[in-house]
Amino acid sequence: MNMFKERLFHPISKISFIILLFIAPLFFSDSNIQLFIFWGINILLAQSINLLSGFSGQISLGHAAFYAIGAYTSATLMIHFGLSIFITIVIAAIFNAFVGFLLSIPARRVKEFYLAMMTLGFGFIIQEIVKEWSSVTGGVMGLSGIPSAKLGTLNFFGIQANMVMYYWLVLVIVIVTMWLLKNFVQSYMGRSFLAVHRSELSAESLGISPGSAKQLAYTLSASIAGIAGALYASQMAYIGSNSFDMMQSIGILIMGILGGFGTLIGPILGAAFLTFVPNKLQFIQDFQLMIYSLLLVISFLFIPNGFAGLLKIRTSLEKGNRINKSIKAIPLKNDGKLLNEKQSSFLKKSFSPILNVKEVVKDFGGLRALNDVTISLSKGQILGLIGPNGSGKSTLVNLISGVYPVSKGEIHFNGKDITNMATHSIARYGIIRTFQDPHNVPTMTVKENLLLGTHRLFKSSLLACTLNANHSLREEEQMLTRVTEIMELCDLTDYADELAGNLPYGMQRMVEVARAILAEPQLLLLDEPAAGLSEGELEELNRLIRYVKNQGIPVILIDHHMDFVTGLVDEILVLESGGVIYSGSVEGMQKDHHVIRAYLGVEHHA
Amino acid sequence: MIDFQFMLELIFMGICVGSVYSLIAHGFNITFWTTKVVNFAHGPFLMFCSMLILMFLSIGFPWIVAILLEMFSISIIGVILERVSVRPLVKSPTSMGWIVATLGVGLFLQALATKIWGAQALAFPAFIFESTDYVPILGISMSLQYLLVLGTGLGIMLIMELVMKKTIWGKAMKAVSFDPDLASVMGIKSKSVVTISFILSALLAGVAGLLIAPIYGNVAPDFGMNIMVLGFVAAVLGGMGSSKGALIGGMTLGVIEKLVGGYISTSAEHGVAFAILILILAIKPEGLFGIKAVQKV
Amino acid sequence: MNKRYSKIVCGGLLLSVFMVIGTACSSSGNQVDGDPSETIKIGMTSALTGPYSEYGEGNKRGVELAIQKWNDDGGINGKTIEVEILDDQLVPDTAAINLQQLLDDEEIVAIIGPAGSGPAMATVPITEANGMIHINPVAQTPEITYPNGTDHGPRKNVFSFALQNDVESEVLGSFAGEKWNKIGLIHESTAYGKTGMDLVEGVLEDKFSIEAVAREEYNQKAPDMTAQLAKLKKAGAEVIVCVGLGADLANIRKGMSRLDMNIPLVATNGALSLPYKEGAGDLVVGTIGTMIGVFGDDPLSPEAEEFAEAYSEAYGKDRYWGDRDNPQLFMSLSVSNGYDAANVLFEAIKNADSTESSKIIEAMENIQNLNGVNASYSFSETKHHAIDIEHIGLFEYVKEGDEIILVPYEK
Repeated sequence: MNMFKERLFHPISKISFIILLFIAPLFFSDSNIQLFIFWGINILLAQSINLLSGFSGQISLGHAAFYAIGAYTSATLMIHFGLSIFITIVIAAIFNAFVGFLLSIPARRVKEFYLAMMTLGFGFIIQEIVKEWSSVTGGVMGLSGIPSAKLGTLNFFGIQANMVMYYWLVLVIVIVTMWLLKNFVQSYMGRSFLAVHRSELSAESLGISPGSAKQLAYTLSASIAGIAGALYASQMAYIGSNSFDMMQSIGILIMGILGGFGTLIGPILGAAFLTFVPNKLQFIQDFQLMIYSLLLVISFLFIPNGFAGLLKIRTSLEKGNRINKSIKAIPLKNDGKLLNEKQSSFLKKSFSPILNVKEVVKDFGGLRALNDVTISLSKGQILGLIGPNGSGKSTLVNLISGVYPVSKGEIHFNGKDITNMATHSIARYGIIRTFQDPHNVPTMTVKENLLLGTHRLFKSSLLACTLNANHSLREEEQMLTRVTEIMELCDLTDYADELAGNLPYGMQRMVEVARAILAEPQLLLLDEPAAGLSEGELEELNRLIRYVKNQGIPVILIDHHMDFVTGLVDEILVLESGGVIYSGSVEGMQKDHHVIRAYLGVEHHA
Repeated sequence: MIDFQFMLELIFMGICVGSVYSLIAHGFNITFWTTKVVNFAHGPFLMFCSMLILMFLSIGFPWIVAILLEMFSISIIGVILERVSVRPLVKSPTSMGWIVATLGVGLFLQALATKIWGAQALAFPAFIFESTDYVPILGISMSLQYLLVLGTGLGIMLIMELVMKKTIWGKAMKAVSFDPDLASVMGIKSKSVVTISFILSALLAGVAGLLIAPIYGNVAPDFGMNIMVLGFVAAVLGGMGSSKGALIGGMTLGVIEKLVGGYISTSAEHGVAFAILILILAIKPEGLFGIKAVQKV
Repeated sequence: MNKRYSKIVCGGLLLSVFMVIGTACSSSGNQVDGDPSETIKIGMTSALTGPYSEYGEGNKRGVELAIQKWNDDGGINGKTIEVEILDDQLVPDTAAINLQQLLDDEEIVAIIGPAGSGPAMATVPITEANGMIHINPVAQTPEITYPNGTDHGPRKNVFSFALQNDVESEVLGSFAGEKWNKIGLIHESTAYGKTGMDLVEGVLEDKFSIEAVAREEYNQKAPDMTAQLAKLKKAGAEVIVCVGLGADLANIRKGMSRLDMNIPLVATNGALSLPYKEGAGDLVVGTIGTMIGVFGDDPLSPEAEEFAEAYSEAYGKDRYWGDRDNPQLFMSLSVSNGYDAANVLFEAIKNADSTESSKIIEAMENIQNLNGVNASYSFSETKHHAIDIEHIGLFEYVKEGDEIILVPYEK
């Protein structure tokens, strides 16, 4: 952060900027007021696609469809029922949210370019419906006579609205939307969007359901676009189906990409670019499409984070700043206790097996990766899992965590049958895992990544998060306290605000393990956590795992470092070609000649 | 009583129109095999090819020279596309990069064509067959222009199936698609295989441009986009990456479109293709003949 | 990126944003080109670039030729004419923004509107509310001028020089109804196509009590229309009447030949455009189309002759002109309509001897029998469109030796 930017984002400059925006139209000509209104509408559109594509990673090539639905909903309600614009905007937003929800049902099942195709198709279908359903939409003739401020036909509470008043309406809506969006993306829900964007699998392993996250993203994004559409209809006084074609969808995408996906300031800049540049620089018109298309080609290469990236603007994804400012009631406790009392005592209570894996079989095609494996694990126990490459260690972890379905056999956890449940449901039961290569979100800071770990513990509602309700802030603060504690434990405090993707490999590993611990697991699955760690880091990891064990949390640990494993585990399981060849204590294993012949003798690491 | 003649007419026309979609779907498949990338500029490629042929013809070159020059030019554009919008972006965790970048190239070609040749539709002369040439089959006249496209589509499918199953080339492509780094280790020049796949795909766009433009008689700069989207539907319906799927998917789409148009409403004809797209993606994303993608951990 | 560099980039970008906003704020009509008392300024927004620039660019040429002509003759009552033309690419939003910008410029006294029904519909309410005279040169939808239908009064400020849908359909419908009984209809799924065909149906019903055997529609630039044609064929149509653009008509004509439909095709002005003639090749023979007849006259009227000379001098015999010695028929819709629109507007301003909108509108309504290229123009308080049935001719493609030419249709 440099001085300039700090000044730019200082509350005083923010407030004066907003005041400036409020009084500006009094000095503008009508055409400039109109241009600024379009900027506002474009900001909403850009934020809408930003939420969907930028945050949750779901590409949309048919976003104009939502825009259209909002516009037509509001317009027809105003024309046929004479409803006030304030009501039609709300109805447009709600109805659009519903359409977004409906689209998410098929859309959540597909990804990547299949999704691009689906949204493209969705855009075309809506355009066809608008064209053909002429009794409501005016069909190809379009819909004229929409009450509009620029024609003097729009009323605000009985008063005839002029352009300046309409500008204020748009401005208020944009500011409120921005504020709500900011609160949202800084909440655990907003963070879960980015987690799903980076890797659905890793998000699931923390108890985030990618399906629900996407559904929420579609719903919210559609509703913002709906508001934009409603405002557009009243601004134009006339809407026709041609205004919502594929080029409009691409225009919306360009605003988001150019401005910078994943930030809140970026889309504002992107919208400004597309609103002002073609109008103010008429000579560009001739090359407009060429310039836009070239921007599309090069943006991902040269300015992957858009204007916001160039300006080094990043939107923080946690409410630390906000909390430090407003709530000072709860002081930071630094007693080194990560888990709350209730849970840890609960964990220590019983010594009966918490995990039971019964005669589990896994086939890949004709290949048997795992054959008849049975494990039982009690609280506070660490089970080491070793075996040569391809012996089925990771497969076992993937089966327990629900990444692969089981071919035969059963898995019980805490007395419940979790066989073939979805990964995120299993994670919500408390089975948290790490991956062979760190699955952090590289574009999030260490602190934010760690907060992601606490996702399953959050209970605040969507409304509480977006409105910054006091109890949701307090919840966020509690989690932040835990994050601070574990950062100290792992020597990560200095890197709290560093992007996870910029950290050295070993540290990324530590972040991932710490993140898993923050999820308050009732069973921790560590898949080769020590791979690639330095001597010092190894020591730290060792400390961390012992700490977990002391909390009474059972651990399954896969690793190749013999000394590391044998120093930690209570029991050990040796796999070879999918079958168990030894199960028991470490001492016993070292004497077992099956193991010596099959594994230790051949591939002794230490 | 069903008018049998009418239905047969619709079905035959559907197959003909569908063969156009298949020809485009084949173009998507080649790059999909090597990189899992689908070129969103394929439609504009096709348009650009037609425009190039027109330009070379108007300069006074004979057909064969015009076609060769066009094929050469489009191969270069294909290589540029691969270098600029695919290679640097294909490794990123989401596919948004290459989708947007290839789409950008497509829009650029469209803008460039408008700049060079104007926005008006330009007439495209007949190639090999006139639109009046037809053969009667079961009492229905089948246009030879369409049959040519159909034959080409069928031929391409056969060649592709053969190449993919029997030749070292097919194996190399499969290996690259599975894991480019591993393929490199095995001595396959992954990068060249990918580049060549883009050249082949561009050449298919060239063939499509040459065969489809005379059917419509006109080409305008936005000619490719529309038809590309229908090609997408065909490819997805048949299953991405399957040659058989491209052929059958295209024809199925064509026939459904025409039957819906003939028996329900021609205004529903346009919407039905996209309804099929969403439906098939929601229910069976791998399409009729595609292979289910396995999630790698 | 180091900090200093990012500071520079940061500052630079912010600076440019402020500059844009700055120009946004400052451009409110303070650029004075010449003495306002010595000039008369009109504003125009049209599709000058982009995929639909064909009509917009043509109109611009027409308007500029008219301005050149007037200024060469000393301007309007001694004042030079200026025009500010903005590009809307046929996008309604852009057209609305452009129009507002033109209205902000206090020197501008009249508006020449955009080249398509969508942007026209998006702009006329604004000028209507403002009261400024608005000339519609191209857009064919009658609602632009007559918002409540042609049997009701026009918008006070809008004057149309376009070949209105209702006029074209009247001619088309009357011709078809007189000659055939089993009529198949097909049209594009745009405002132009739908309203046009509704009107044709109306004419057939009212005048001849004929109900069309089938009516089909297609999307502009649809790749294939055989399902529609097959249905028309099945319905037993003896003639196909089409409302659509040239390129699509070519596709339809080819589709007809593929389905072995040897029946006549009668269509709106698109049938006489170059894309149709070139696209359908030899198949065009026998196709009949409606069009403003002026460039079909031999010899050309003096006004048309003058226009043709001015055009070929300025632009040569290009695509707008067509492939023959005389301008192609289609020029009356793409260029000479803009030329006429500007000429008549200037005449009205001259007669009004004022730049006040209400006076110009009054003068416009008083224009009677003013000879232009496309027509002889007469307006009144209730009639704000110029091109009427008597200006429309039917033309047919015939083969003359090796050449295919258009000749006035003889009944």
